[in-house]
Amino acid sequence: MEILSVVIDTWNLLIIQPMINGLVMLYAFLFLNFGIAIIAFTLLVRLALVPLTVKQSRQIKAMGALQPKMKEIQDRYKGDRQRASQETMKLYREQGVNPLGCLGPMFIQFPIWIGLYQAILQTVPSNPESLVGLSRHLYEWLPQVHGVIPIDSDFLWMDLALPDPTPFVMPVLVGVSMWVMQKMTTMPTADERQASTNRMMLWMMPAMFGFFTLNFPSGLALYWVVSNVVGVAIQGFVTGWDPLINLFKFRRGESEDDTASVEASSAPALLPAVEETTDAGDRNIGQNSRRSNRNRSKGTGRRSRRRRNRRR
Amino acid sequence: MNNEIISRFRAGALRTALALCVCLALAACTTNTGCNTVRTPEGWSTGAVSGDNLFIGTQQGEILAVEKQTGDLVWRRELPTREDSDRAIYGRVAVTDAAVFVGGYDGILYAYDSNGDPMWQEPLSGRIVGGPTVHSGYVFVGSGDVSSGAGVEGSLYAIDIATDDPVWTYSVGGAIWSPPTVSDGVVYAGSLDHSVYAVNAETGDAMWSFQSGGAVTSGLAVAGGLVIFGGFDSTLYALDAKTGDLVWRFDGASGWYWSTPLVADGVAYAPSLDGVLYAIDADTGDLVWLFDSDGGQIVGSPVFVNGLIAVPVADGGNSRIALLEPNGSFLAACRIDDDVRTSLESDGDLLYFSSKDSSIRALRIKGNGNPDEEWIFLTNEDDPRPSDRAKAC
Repeated sequence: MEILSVVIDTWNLLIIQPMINGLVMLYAFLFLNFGIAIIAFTLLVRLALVPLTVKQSRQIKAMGALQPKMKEIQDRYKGDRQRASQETMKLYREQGVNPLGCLGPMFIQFPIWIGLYQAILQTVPSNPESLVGLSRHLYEWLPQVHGVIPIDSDFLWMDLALPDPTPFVMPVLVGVSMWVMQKMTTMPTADERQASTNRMMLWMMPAMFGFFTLNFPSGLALYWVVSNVVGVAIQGFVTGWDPLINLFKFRRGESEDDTASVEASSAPALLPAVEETTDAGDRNIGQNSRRSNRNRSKGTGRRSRRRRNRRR
Repeated sequence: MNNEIISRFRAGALRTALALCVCLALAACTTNTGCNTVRTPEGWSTGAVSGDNLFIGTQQGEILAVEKQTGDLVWRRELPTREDSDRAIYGRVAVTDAAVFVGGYDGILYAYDSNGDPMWQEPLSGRIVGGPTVHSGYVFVGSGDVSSGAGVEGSLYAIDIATDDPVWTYSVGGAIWSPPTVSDGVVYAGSLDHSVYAVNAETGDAMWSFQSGGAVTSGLAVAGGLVIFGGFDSTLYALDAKTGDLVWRFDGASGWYWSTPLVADGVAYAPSLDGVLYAIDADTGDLVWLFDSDGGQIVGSPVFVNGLIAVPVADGGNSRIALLEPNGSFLAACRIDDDVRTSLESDGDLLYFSSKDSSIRALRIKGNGNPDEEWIFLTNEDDPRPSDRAKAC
């Protein structure tokens, strides 16, 4: 019990209190608008985490680039799982890829997300108990934060301390933005089981977070939406926007584009096999990662289509 | 071993586990057990003694009348609040010989007669937190929602007890969560808009206002021609009651003042959320002494009982009622299982309060400061605590 108390106190001291005071300071300087403060705070935190996020995105990209070779290894050592693992490890070493590298940044960011979640909940007072509790977290040496309490939690059509009154706008925005985020960051894989898991997660996570948004303060939903949008933007700049662009294309166009990418890649013979076992999201990530020069690849793709048309 | 880890990773086990962790954590949050979502208000009601009874609100959204000496239930009424999220009672219950008035967090002022029969109810604009005050045939009460931004208003009402008609309404820029104080025909109340207001009790006309450095939920104590109150800027103010001019200010606290200071014999006893009770010379604003609760918060107001000062300390499982001599010396404490945020009420040598553990208690305070639990009334009928439980003190 003592240890738990120390852990909670440390957590509050190092994570929650700086975040709460930061949020309130932003509120004080940004027109006393808590919605804008949440957006600004989310941007600042995501900005501070850019090195980690970029590292994670590059790992995803690197993993995607290895998929053809990994598939080849799997096919070659189909009956020998041990050998397949050894060869995979060897491949990772040779290419300088750490397969757990994308997990590390994720775990480092996880406590920050939880802290942000708690900070937003505690900063927006939904009743007198919340307000009394908030007083414990504000720095006494920062008089500006005390002068703007209680926070005005009205933003657009919402009271950020309460769930969205509509009540579907924020759940839909959270679900859609998370789905796009999932689509952009899904780890490419040649493994059918993993592909199946990815497909499940692609829908499950947005659906669950959308559902949670029905009951959570809309301030938290706003944070999720902004965080997802920023995450998509960072991922797009690092690994390319094609997964997002492809969402707006017709199925036929998408398939042609994929074929074009396959032909433009460095391991054309292996890729069709990979595509058969992965979902659309994996394909998109995979093709992004293989494009060292996107313009050249697109050009090649167009030339490929022209060649096919001539054959017809 | 590494190969095995890689295989598992590739199979998605870690990723799935991570996602499930997120989902489980959020699922825990939605049930309001593991962490805080939109918190349900619990309320903290301060009792009032009238005749043989103590009248007090419960965390279950009821108003109770219990026999003040024994704790036996006289009557019990559930407020007809529609939404569970509004089912709470904050502030002091106001009583006359014939009626009981209680402000609901749902923004409705309820009136019951002394037998517990409903007399009337008056919906107000915004939530009631400070509780009502009865004076000269009128009920004065403030209301408003927590947001203090532009366009969000709070109001102070004067309601005729006989007709339940609002006689006047005085609107301000923020919620009025401060219990109104009536003195010499003037109603005083603080607001979350950082100001305190003095209003003519008969007409509702503004007399003066004073802007402090923070929100004000503290009631305004009127004594010796001064109005004394504290705010969220951790400052205790004394104003001239007639003009609203600043007489002195005390900046020694490190936490907000939530409740009304107790003023007696030229000393203002001001409770602060930093866990300290400050005794301030009411004439000069100088610190006389202080009592540090060492880690708790003092949300409710202290009270004199049997010549001693009783202080409610909210500190989770280590909450307590501390008993001090008038010079600030600590005498004794009665440990309570959960937060005591309510202000205290006394009658003779009995001290009454409610606790977050859904209990209403009476402590008998001896002359030497030793408290004895006289009775306890558990307001939650599903409470598993046995009837032969050990007394708190």
